Amino acid sequence: MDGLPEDIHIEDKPLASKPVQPEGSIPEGITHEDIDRALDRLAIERARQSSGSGLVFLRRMLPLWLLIGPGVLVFLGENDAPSMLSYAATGARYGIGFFVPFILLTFLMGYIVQEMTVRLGAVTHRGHAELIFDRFGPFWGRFAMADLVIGNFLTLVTEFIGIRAGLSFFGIPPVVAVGGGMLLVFGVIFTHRYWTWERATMGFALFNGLFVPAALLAHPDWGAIGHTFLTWSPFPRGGLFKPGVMLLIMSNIGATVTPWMLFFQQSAVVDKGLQPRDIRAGRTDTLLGTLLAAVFGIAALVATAPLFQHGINAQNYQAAQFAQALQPWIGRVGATLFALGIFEAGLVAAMTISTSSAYAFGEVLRKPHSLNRPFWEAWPFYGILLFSCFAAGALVLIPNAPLTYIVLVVNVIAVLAMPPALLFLVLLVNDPEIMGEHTNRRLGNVAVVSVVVVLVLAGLGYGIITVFPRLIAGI
Amino acid sequence: MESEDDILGVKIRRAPVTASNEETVAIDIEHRPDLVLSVLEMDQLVNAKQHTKFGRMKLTRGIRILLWSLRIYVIMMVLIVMLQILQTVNGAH
Repeated sequence: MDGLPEDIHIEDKPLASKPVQPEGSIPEGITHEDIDRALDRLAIERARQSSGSGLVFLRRMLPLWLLIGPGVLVFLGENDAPSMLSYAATGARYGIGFFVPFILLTFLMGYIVQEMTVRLGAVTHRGHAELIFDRFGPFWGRFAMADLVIGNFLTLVTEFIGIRAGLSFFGIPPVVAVGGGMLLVFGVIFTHRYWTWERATMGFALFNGLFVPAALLAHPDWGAIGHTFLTWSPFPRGGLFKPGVMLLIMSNIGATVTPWMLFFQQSAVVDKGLQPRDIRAGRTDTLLGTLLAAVFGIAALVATAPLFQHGINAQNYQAAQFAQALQPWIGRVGATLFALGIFEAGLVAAMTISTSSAYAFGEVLRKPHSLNRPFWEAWPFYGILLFSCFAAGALVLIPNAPLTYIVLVVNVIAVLAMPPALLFLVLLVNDPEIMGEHTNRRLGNVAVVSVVVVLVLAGLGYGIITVFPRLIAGI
Repeated sequence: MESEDDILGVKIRRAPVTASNEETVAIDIEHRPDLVLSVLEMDQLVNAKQHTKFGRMKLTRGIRILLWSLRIYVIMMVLIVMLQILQTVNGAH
């Protein structure tokens, strides 16, 4: 075995059906996707075993730096255009109060759920859609896929609404904004490497932090923010059981806990090549994404709180209108940051959500489904990604669509589709046949069942108030 | 720790990459893709995954009832969302 490290040996015992490979060619059974993934793994091993000089802290952080990605991307991707507009609408209608700690709670729910997808991906090396089809069969698998496809497409539409609306603040015509957004998403076909795509998308995603300086320019009342974290008050006027408030509660939950996140993170963990011993790093990655997204989301709410304080009715505002309305209080710079933030939120989510659809289709159809594959090797995968983006972008160019209402309803639909998705997740992550020693502990099950109960109750509350508005008014 | 695996009919003894051999692996991996096996787990290989499927989970009566209940919940709630959209559209006119 010339050229092999001393402790790696390959026996020359190929089966009759597997011809011996010529020297230097790729053996049958090993693909370019495997090689790319192995190179990424090798970099991680090298970082872990590095004993060279340098700061101890940096040496310790390097493996983590290489392993983070899916968790940060999924949460910053979920801080998308409809989510940021939900937070902005909440801040404009109710100011700093109940919803600030409530948003933090929704992110905690998001972390509980997403951590399980890390374990599932790292242990089984299978995507979420593939596991559902394998373990539950095509009947239930098709339901899960229908929820995902419908939800993803509607959400993608709203991402392009965000791209269009964010750039309209700068006077950029809709066709140019949407077309430019599509081209940036289409850039995925030139990466050929999961790693390259992940780092480029994470670079874009960090601009989600633009909402923080926008919030600081609003000169928030830090005492009020501290008070609301401690007391969850003041409550919205008239209480929580009003259709408008319930819609915002559902929108804010849907801004953090949605089916596409389950599918995306698990598939990204698999594509990145994470293994069971990386689970701790995967948790750190997910926690980092959770904290960043929570801070940025709350910042969007705080940035629009001046509209509430000055009694401005922002009920039907779109992204650019929020930025324009905020300009007297947070200045031109603040308004620009807000508009750019909405654009970024739409763009990064368009990248991640379209990738989530493509992964799921590839897994279910058993076609190549990896960002480590070039376009010609995995054209159905890239085709789904590009087509979904193109169709969603084209729909957004239809004039006079009721944009703000659409973005709020999309999040509501995401919440409603979540309980069945979570049931699949709970059953899979408690399945010892596929998870071995990594099945859920009791605390994890209590936490995720609590999330399901909260989501179902919120959905039922929304339904009752919508169908019987006078019932609650009479109480 | 060295282990023996059977990948697509090829018997392979492998050991984890160590500090002593990782440079060699890094240099050779693109020319000798069989070295991929030193850093990837068996079921991370694309072709190995295509040839193996997890079997069907046994769904108990309770799980089936839960799955159906949540499916009915989703359908009913989507109808309610559509109702609210209609109410809003009618209200706007």
